[in-house]
Amino acid sequence: MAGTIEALYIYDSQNSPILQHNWRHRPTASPQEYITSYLSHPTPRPPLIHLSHLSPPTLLFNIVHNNLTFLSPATSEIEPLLVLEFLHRIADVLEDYFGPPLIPSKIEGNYDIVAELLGEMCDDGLPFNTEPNGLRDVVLPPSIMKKLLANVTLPSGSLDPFRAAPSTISTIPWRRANVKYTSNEMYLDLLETLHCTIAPSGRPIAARVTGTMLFTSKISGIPDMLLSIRTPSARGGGGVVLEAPVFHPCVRLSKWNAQPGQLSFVPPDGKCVLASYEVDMLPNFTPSTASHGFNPPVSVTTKLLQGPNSNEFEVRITIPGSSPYCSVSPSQSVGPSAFARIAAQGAGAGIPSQFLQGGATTGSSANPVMEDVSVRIPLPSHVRTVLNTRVSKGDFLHDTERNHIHWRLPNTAIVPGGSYTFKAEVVVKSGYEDEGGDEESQGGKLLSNYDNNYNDGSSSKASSSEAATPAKEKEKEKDKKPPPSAQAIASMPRSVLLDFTIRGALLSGLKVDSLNIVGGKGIAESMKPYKGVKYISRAGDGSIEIRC
Amino acid sequence: MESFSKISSIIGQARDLTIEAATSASGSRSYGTKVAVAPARTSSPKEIRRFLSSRHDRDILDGLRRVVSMMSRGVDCSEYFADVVKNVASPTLEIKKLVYIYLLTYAESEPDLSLLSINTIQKALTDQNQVVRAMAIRVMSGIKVPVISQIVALGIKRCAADMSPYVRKAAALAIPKCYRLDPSTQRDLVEYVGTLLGDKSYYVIGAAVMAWWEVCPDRIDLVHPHYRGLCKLLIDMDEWGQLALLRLLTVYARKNFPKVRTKSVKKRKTTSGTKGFYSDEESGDEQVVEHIDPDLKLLLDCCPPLLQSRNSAVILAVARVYYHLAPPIYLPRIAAPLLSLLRAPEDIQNIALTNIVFIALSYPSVFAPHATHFLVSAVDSPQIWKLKIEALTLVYPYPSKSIQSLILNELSYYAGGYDKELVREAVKAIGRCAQNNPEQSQRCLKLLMQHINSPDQTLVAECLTVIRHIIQQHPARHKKTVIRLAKALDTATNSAARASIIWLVGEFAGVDNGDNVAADVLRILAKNFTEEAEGAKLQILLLAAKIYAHYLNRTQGGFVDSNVSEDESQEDTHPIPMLFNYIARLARYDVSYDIRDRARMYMSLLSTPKSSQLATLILLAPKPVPFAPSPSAAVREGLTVGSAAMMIGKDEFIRGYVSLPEWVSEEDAPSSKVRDPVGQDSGVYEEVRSVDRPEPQAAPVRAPVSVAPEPVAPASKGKEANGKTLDEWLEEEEDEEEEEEEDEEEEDEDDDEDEESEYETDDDEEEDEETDDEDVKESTKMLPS
Repeated sequence: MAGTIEALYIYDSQNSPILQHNWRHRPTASPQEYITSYLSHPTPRPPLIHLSHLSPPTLLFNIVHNNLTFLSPATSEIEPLLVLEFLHRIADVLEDYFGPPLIPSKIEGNYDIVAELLGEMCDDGLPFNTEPNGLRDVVLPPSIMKKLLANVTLPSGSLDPFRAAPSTISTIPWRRANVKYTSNEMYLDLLETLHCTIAPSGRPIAARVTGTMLFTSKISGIPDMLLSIRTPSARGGGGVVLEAPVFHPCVRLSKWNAQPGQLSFVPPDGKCVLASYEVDMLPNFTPSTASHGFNPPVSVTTKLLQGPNSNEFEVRITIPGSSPYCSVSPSQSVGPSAFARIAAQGAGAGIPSQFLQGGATTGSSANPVMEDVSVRIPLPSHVRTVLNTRVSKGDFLHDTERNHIHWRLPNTAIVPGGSYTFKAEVVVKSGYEDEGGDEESQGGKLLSNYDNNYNDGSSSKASSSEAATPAKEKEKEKDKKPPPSAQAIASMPRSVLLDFTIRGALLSGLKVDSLNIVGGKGIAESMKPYKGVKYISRAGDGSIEIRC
Repeated sequence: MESFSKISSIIGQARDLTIEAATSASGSRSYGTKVAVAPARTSSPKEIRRFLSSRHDRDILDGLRRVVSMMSRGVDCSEYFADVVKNVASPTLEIKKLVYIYLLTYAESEPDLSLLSINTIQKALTDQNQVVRAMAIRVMSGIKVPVISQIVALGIKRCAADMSPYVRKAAALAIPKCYRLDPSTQRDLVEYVGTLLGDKSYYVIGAAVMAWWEVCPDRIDLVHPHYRGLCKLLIDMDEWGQLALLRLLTVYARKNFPKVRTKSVKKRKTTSGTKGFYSDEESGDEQVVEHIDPDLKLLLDCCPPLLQSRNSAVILAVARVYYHLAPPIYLPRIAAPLLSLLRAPEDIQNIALTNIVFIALSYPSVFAPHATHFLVSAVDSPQIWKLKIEALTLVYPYPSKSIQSLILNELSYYAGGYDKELVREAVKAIGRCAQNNPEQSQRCLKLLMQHINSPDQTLVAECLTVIRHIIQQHPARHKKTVIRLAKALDTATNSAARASIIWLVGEFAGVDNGDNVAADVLRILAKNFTEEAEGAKLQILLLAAKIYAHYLNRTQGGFVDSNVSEDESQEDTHPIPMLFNYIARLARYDVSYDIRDRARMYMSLLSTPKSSQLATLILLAPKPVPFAPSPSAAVREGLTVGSAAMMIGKDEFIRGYVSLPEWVSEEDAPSSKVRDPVGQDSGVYEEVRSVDRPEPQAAPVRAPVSVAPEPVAPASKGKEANGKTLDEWLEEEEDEEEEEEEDEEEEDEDDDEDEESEYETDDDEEEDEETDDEDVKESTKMLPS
């Protein structure tokens, strides 16, 4: 079980190779062959593909980052997560060096730096130094490299002064040595994503919040920080528990374990993900209790099989009248730049609905705003299109490629008590019916013999016996049908996905109590860094699913 | 933890740049000088040579950048060897670095020319700058020219004693390279590894452990004196070092500590394991872990902080330590951290889930409190939802009633979906739930029956197969269900579904002494025999044969004795023989030769009432209960948590995969004195080592050594339908081959009578053996208590 990372190949969105780096690899195939084998698997591709046709058989690890495909072949056993974590780390480091987003031209313009980085991150297949800060001590960032090159016609040996004392390597692996800033500042971003499944009855059956803390530090010297987090205590008896937390190596685990909520750390210079956690919003799940204490900030209901032909569906977004997340003037400046000064409000702990009662008047944390509410409705693959769409607010788009409808509400419409609907009729693909008929052609001939009412229920049966029937007629025939047929049921959406963003509040009710420099080296007494905290809650990428 | 860039992209909403816009932006933002923009593509070899030979650092640097760019693109740059390498002596660090990068790739192709550079590099070993020293040892060891191996070894020796941990780390990583260059240097290298393993800096130890893995993975003795220190340093090391060290400690523990014994082993066998091990603990007071080596405990206690690592591989490696080494009471600790990996990007989720499912196969109750993590979302990819469904069925019996019903409702919801594959999996999953928790089988059956009249034929066919399995598990309870199913024949059109129903009806043809629906069903089916699909025809024919055989048995006087010898009765006018004859005749002239064949066989089997004993044996043999194992069970069993081999499955051989060694026996385990900190005679270690069984090296022996679930009683295994107890599982280690054959048969859910009856007898035999062996087992495995 030793295992080494053997090589790295990066391909652009056209799948042509833009970078290859071997640590210890005897290539078993050309870069083109690797990508071909990779592409031969249908999407979504497994992160580990076994290429048994190569000699020796090769394990192909892959990640996709920003349309770039990272492949790493390995010819012998290695822990898959080790390779994948390492690939993600490479992507992060490259982005850190060249600035997000990572795009091919940035790699192509800096091959030398990339090669140095890869050589430093991994020595002979064994990961060596993967901390962005540690790397900055030994590999020049592009800005300094640029300076070097800009100085024309320097005599040999005179380049060294441009290096910032390379022989000093920080004793803290994640923080580079000799950090100096003229203006000191630090920012803490707390981002929570709500994952929630709501049963057709409208009851949440699972609700979880996953949170991430992103810390940006621009502070001279080696600051020792203490961050206290307050978790609301009131909600159905027990307090909010931060479950399964994971931390950046800089966080002192002993402190956290002794006093949960206290993060003591020496931050890396620049940005880092300090911690992530999750909170179960339905800690005492029982189906009997109707009041479970949690509801998503936007409610979505669906009605299926509507209209005379029972081929219509309706989706309704309702913003609760008591919603704490909408202000009368949502357009006020709560953009990404608006960091809230930490204000230790008196109250404000507790369930989301109490955010507003915090009483503090400054900053957006006292005035949370909901934005970007939208709904995605995946349609069954055999639905061809939707007709007669009526939308009471906002605009919608039918993404035919992924076959879903995306309906967005304008931010101005998000006011307490707002309620909006989207209605549409589905049209089933004619091809599907034929297909369905073919599939059942074996059984199809039995139909005449069994006096069932199945035939009435679905036109697909009919189509199998009379394959010549033109598609349009069938549709008409179908449209005439009175009660909801099995076919109609099967062409209704099965679920609706809700997206939203709330700026200025966390759904779990978490609050930052304080963020202070409590010690460290090289910090002037008089230094008063600017501190900023920002809260964002969101749902996206299908994290809230409303079953219908 | 989610990747940094993803988080920052969510937060930095301002970054609404499209990729194209960003491309152009970065183009204009890159270096002002023309050299910077993708230089290599345009420059000719001549030009590059000119640059490399320039007097100015800037030009040399520029030339080198072009060469490195071409290398990164995969262009062969060996033609510039001489021009590049002559710059090795440059005092400029940037130039040096790029030359080194070049050397690492091409030194092999020009061994003679590379030797010229060795001298300069060697000088750099004494440089004042630690970065330069580290780079020098790294490059020197990376030059793949065997003649310099002695110099490299000397260099490593020097650097291993360097002041700077950074250099020592580089030296540690140079050791495997030197070993590959010239294996004869191993003696010295092993010594350096030993020294570095005892290094005070956590920065170095990770690299030393990696070197140990590559150079001398069987030299457990090197680890002894440092074992306790390594355990304690585990927390402080970097993630990659932790990974290597956790691998080492896992193997070390297996080779040096006897298996943890619990007194409850005996007890658990008798309680037939219907509860999770939680409840076992509550009930059995003797459950207390009797003996756990303090040093093993040290390892287990040093691991938990690592479960808060941001590196998913570390979390999984700790899970491996607990799964393979710890007594079960430790396992609940890993559940939440493992599930935290589901917050990670999808590729990591996929691997994490595979491992979670693998662990859940043995210890499902561990994940029971977190069952809702496995609910399938509409956006999950097939690989993810398959694993989630499997996890749901595995944990199903353990959580509270409300969660159980939630799981069933969810599965039923998936079964109504429009993704055919999801439907199929969901229905199978409901079947497995019924099988894992027989009390709930009625409920499952009800759910499945709801789908029977669905227009979706895939769903119907799948449902029926599963219903058949559930019914077979408890035939007596489900007579009514069969009648309801027979009714469904009126509507079901899918031939597989029909075949399944007909077969089930046939199985029940003998109940209540013939007073049942079977004959009537046959009568209805006979009308349209010719229009059935082939599969259904076969089953109708079989049904007719079964009914006729039952009829014969009844009319010939109950159970047929071998000496019943009645003459062929007069031409029978009872409807059953007539039906049989009718169908057999139709079948004989069928288009399918298979059906004709089968008809001929049944006809001759049943031609004489005398020989109906044989027919009874063949047609009416009791069927074994079909058992649908969890999909991952067969593929992954016995592999190591967190390995690539486990991801790929047993069917493929992964080079370099070595399964964990067996637990050392109590007698062979070295005394804990060897782990006392240094200063003692190292001879002791040598002696101890001779007792250690050498680890099988890189041999393809992973299959039979099913180390994984045995050490402690797997919570649910005992309860699965094959009713295996701990000792039976233990025994399987020994006669693995036999077991494998059986597994195949178990999966074979065919209704092929011959095979199954054979299997049945096998099973009996095995059970006999097992009871015989039980005592022996106890005395051998559990002896030293």
